[in-house]
Amino acid sequence: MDCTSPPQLNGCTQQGAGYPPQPASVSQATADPTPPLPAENAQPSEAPPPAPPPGAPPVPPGQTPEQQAVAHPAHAYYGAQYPPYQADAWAAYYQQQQQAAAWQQYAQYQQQWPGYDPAQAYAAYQQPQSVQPPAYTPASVAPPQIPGPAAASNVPGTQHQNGAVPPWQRQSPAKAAPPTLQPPKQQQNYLKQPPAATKQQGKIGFFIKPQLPKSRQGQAAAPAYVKVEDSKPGPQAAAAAPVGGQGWPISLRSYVERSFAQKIPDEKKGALNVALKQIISDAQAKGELWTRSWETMPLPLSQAAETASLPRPAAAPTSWLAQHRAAKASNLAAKPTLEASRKNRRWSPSPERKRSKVWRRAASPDSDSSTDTTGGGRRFLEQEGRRRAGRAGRFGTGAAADARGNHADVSRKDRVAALGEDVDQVDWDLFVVKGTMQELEKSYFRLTLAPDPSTVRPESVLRRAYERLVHLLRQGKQNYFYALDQFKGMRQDCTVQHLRNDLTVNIYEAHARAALEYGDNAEYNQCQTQLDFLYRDSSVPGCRAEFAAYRILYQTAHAKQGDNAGLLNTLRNTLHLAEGSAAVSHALQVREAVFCCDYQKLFSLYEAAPNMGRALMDISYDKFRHAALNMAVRVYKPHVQVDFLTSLLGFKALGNRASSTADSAQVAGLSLPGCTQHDFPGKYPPQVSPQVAGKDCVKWLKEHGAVLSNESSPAEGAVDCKASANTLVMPAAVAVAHGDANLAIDDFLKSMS
Amino acid sequence: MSGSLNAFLTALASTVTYQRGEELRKLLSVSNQHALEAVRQRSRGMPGWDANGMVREEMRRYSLRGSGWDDIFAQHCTALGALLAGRAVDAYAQLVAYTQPFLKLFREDKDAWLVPVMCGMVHNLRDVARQADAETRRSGKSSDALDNCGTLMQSCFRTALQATGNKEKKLALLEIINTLFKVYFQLNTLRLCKTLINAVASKQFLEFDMFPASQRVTYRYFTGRLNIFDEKYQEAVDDLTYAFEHCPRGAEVNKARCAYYLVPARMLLGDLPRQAMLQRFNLHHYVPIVEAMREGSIQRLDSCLRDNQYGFIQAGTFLLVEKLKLFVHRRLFKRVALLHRVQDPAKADRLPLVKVQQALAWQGVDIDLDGVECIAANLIYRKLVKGYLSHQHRIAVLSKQDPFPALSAATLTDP
Repeated sequence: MDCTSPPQLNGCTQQGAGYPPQPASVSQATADPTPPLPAENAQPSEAPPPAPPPGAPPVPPGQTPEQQAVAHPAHAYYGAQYPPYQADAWAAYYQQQQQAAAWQQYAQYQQQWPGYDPAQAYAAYQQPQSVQPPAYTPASVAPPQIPGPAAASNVPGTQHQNGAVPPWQRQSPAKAAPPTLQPPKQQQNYLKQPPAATKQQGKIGFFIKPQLPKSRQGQAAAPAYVKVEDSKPGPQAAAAAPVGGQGWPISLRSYVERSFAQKIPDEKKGALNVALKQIISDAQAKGELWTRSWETMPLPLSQAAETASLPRPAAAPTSWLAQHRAAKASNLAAKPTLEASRKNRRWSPSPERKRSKVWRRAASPDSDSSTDTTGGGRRFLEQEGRRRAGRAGRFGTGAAADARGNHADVSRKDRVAALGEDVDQVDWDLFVVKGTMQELEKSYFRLTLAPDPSTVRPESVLRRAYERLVHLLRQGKQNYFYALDQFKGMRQDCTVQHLRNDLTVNIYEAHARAALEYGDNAEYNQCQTQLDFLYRDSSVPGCRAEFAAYRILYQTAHAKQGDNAGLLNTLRNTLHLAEGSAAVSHALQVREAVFCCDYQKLFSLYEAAPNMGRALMDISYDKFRHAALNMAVRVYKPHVQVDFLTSLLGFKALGNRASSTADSAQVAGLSLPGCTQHDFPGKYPPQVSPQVAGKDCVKWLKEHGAVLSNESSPAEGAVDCKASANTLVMPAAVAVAHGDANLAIDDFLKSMS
Repeated sequence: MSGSLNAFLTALASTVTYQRGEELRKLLSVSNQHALEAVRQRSRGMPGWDANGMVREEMRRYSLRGSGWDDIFAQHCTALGALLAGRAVDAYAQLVAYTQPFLKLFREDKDAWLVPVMCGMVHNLRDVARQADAETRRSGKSSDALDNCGTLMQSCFRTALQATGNKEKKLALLEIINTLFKVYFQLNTLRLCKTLINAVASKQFLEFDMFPASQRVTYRYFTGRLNIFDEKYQEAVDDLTYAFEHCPRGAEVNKARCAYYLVPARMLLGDLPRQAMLQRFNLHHYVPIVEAMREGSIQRLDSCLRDNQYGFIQAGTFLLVEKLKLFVHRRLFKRVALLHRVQDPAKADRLPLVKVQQALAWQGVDIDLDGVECIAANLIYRKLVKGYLSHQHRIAVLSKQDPFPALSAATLTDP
């Protein structure tokens, strides 16, 4: 709809863009367009209209707003910055609604009780009203043909004249109509009823009472428990009360206070917190929150609780009076600790927590407006309570809380408070660990507990550890298995300390290269994903072009499985790098060769791949070779020379090894960080010597089921195309018992120990 | 000044009371200038006013207090205020906050009057999420509002799919799906589209024709684009043709969008577009491609691909257009073969590859004979040319009958 643009003309509004059109009968000149004029504007002495904006016409001195209104009705009320058309649009819409509403209601009444006299029903509504404008005469709307009583008061026009306007339309003259002036109950129920309800008349006038637990019904009415509202509390407000601060039984509160007042060592406070939560949520889940006799419950972590670990079910619901008395007494007794205990309650909002997860926080019902929470909010909280109970139960002993005892510079209370909240809302920044470990070598161990600072290396140590590992790899003193273990340990240290800088990038990059060199694609993928996140932060340095090239190559290798969209997205994001980077432009050429099935070019590009590109091309290299052979066998007749295939399938080196494209580290004679070899040859290195290449080719052809016509001399041999067409196979990958052909059995056994 | 906000709230309240979904959708739109103006006036006249309290108070007058709508309207007004102040992130948080309450109302509604409002909600979410993302990105941080919006809209989708109480609530589905498509296309999480398409294809879904034409067109447009990604060209052409033909005549921009994908997809199936079509929908990118396909000019195609690389990749048609290279190669071979037939009628079916190499050299494409052989091999392999190759003699032996079959017979994916 075109309601997106502001109506520039009155006519535009009348076309009904955003709002129902203004009835044509309402003339601006004669009719006062603002029957719903709010009190502030009607009585300018009390609430003067805001100063006109710079563009507004000056108000002539000595002219009251009323006088002005006579001259320029719309301008006076809305100012020049608020053009009259809008006021008219609102007013007209409003008016229409008003009249339609009145009619609809009238029709409803008529249908239900034919003899009903609306004048009586509306009598309760009589209240001082500003003089109704002439625009409100019913002439502007054609009255529906209802065979109503002949009484003059039934004519809709007179209803308006009497000020019998349904309450949602009436503008309260703010001074005259106090908020207590509620429409009669019966009337209100009607208003809640949608027009469709005329079909189901039986339901009219009913509304469902909130289902309260029986024991609570008396309490809900008791003034001590329900917040007194300025108006009749709606069913929602009453129902929502239990979740607010007033909603817990006072006996429970005093129970919590007593628990905290126990003399227990500091390190056990966390456990106490957890235990309390568990007890309360258990009671909540069983619906015994209000029936359990909290006065007699053993306190958690006390001797009594050791003997009776399970909360006993309440013998009988205690009367409200008894509870009230007990609460009063305990309140008086526990007053000094009240504030302290409140801080520890898990439902207390902790304003100091940073709002890192803005959306989720906003999505949860705001605790400030707990009295206003709707039924949905209440259910949400109940479910949440149950879920929290489940989570709290996981660490029943509170060991987890203890383990975090020595985190630096954040008070324990904050963290415990944060833990009690929904996991989604926890501000994990509070849990950042500052490591103290000084050793350079650390084996990876997947954490099952919160990290212990004594086993985490700080950044400076990590840097040295990284240098050491890269050096060891360059020297070839350590194998990939060791590097994997070390890299994963470093990655973990970075994660738990929230390090996102050049060091992190270096570690991930080196690990990715090491994984590529070894052929560990799963680990490479993890690193690449993480690097993608890291690179999004433009302040972090890194070998973006190199890894962009890897990404393109990787997706190209898998493109035939149909992730074209992913590849396109990568291209979109990396195309700008192609200008300055040989690696990226090489990767783009590879992509083109693969997509155009230009196998010859593809295999020659393998030779020219910079950095670790060959490792990625290895992924599907054999598949592409097989596809090329398949094509050759089907296209050439009657034979295809082995010699030709040797060059077509990339067994013969073309001598276009990339030397100018090498990384600066490689030029200096060093391997890339993370690599052991200076120049990664790849799994399928082309041979310079034609004899060796020919032999390789024949061997490969035989493995793949090609039928050779003259096997004795590879140089003159040829593949019999017709015979080979149906015999080509992809040999099954070499299977190793422990699953990884590259992994030496010693390393495998070491990993098992 | 406050009159206008009061009137806005009145309008909101009465649409709820009388269940006018379409009107409520318009009123609740975040781009509704009237509503924005009303909030602007109010915040100008009363700096620091509390939308929450005020709107809730106001809603009591219309006996909507506690119905859930009062919170929704209050948060909506706060969101509008935040939008006006240029705080899209806050505005988005507000929208998110009232989405679940709205879904609850939608679920509990016996009627289906909230269907248009639901559509408006998902539009609002996406609009504001994008603004929020743009705002965060301006400050140099990465943002996930749109991501979050996708998850949230998934829950809208599920709610509408369940359609508790009234089957007609499912009418909101297609619009939600379309909006989700837009989000997923922007986030490039296209695999998530699969579940949505499966939902539409399932038997429990409503009859496709029950939805408004605008939604049907949008849906088929997106499925067409997805099919292009998946290299299902025939399906893509079907979808896009549907979208193209069902667009109203006046919707030139939308028609042009459909045509942008329809034209290359149909070219892949062997139909060249007319010049008038390219002119009408401003598809000038494709003009050199069409000419290259007519002439068999590799050089033209290459230069066009190079020039429009960014554009095609952005639009997602790059891989599609690149596939047309094969057709251009075929046309070149055909033309060379015709010339060869005239030059050497005795050996008309034995086409020396040197001649093709020569033709390519004239076009300015430098390529060795092995490369030409590779091209020829691909053409024969994909059934664009009938015949076989001889490496020894460097010739392509063409089939005696119909050496260049119709383009529609070609296999574009790997055989």
